[in-house]
Amino acid sequence: MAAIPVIQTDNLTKVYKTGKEAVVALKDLNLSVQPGEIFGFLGPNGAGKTTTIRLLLDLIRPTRGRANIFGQDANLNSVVLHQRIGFLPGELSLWKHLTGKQVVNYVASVRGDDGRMVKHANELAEQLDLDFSKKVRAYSSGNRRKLGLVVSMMHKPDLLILDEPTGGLDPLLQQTFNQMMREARATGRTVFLSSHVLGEVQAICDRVGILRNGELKAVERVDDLTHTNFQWVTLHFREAVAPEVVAQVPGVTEVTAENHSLKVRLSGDFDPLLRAVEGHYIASIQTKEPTLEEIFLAFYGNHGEQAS
Amino acid sequence: MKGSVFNEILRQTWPQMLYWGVGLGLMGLFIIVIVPDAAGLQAMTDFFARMPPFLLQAVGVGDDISFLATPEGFITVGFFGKMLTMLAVYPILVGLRVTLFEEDNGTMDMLLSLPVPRGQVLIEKFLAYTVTLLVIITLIFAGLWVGAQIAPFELNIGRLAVTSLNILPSMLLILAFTILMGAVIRGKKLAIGITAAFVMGSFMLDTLGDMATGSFAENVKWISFFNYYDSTSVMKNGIVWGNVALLLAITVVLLGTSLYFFQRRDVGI
Repeated sequence: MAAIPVIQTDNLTKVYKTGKEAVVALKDLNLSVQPGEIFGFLGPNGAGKTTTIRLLLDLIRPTRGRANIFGQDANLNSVVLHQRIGFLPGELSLWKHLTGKQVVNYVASVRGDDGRMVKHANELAEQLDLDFSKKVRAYSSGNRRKLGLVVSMMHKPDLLILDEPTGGLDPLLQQTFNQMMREARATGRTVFLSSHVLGEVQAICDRVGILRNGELKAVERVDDLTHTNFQWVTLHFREAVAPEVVAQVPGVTEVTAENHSLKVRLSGDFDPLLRAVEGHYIASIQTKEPTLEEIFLAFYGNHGEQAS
Repeated sequence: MKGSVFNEILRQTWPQMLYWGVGLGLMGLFIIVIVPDAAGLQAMTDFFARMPPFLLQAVGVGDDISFLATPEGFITVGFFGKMLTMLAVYPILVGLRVTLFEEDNGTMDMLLSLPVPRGQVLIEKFLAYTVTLLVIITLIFAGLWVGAQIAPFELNIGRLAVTSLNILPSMLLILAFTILMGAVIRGKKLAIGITAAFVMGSFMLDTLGDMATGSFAENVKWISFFNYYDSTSVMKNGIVWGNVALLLAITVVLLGTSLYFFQRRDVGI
């Protein structure tokens, strides 16, 4: 029997009405996140990522459709579900007049802590090198982010929902964060994180959903996504070759010439490209997978509309 | 866990609660200290007796000018008569924190992502602020009690206590009204404006109704909650239970309506 998805949305839609205007923030989102995976939710600002997260947490209510978490309705069972969810908002606001310790104690108290959550919060703070004694208003944005991470993870939730989690973290701490997410996955927990930083998604996510203008354009395994669409091919010749030689080759969309090399963006098979340069001495061929940034741009660029 | 939000609000609010309570308590003490002697009270009463009735109403003396000739009357007019407008700022300030300010600064997202129902957040905050109001009123009474101990005249301590306690139902109504505005209206400025207009409008209506006998204002002043505060009657005759019951009933209705709206709407947009 298939496992119940941790997150399941059916035609989840949110329309904001301001006066006579109606803005569709999210349209017919059908998404399924499986237990134990790290799912990346990608899209530029305004794509609908935060709206989705707020719907999952029952902070806002859907215009139509529904969201289930652990098989339960996210609206009707929100209080029970929130016991199993850890949340880090994108625009993190904590009680500024409290110290980090007081924030942890407050959240732990609301969660009905028996002492274990605060203990784990202290361990996480040590891991993230966070001083609990300062007031929130005295923290740098990076330290606030760390405190937010501690608060979201202190109760060892089955599901972590993180909105732009690494904003404000330095590269070293991003590595620590990545490690924490991998550890969470290793213990069977599920992570749903939104981001527009594709590098971090590439580093830790199993699957990725790409959102644009409130619509889910694609859901792919990160590995598959990296191997699809196109690749960069650099042909090194013994003598200079004019770019026009390969410009009309099927599948070639970009050509740049440098010294004795031609760098092309190739979709599809190699054979037409190699046939086009027949007669020129090829010293070497290099291929490079596109980065997720490039794939991302491809989705939002020329191929964006076909991607779904 | 039940009570966590309540405890946290008390923990966060106790300094302000003390400032308000001690400040107003000292004011009560000061009022008793400056109560004139019998001759002075009589001279003041004679002075007021020469004023036109509408002016007497405007300064809060009321119909029974002879009451002003007693220390209790002086304290009622000089202190309790002004108390509602002075202390009204407090329930407005804390009432806005129940939902509106916390949504505005984003902490409500964090709070409601925890396993706590929206209704529980609202009720626990209301109860916590009710406790702070009780403490403030107790401190006000404490100031009056200290004044009564050093005053060279006898004061009815029991009446001072119930007149102090009589402030609470009106404050709870203002608190509940402010919470309702926060629950219904998304704009912070608009919610503050309507709440302030509600309190000031009620005050104006009650005062104008007293001043202008036979006017439209007098006919409709029953809709002002100030009308049911009536500290003079309480000081003279004790608690007016009908007034207290009405104010508390309206408070419950306002709070219930706040719950209805807050549980059904989007948060923090």
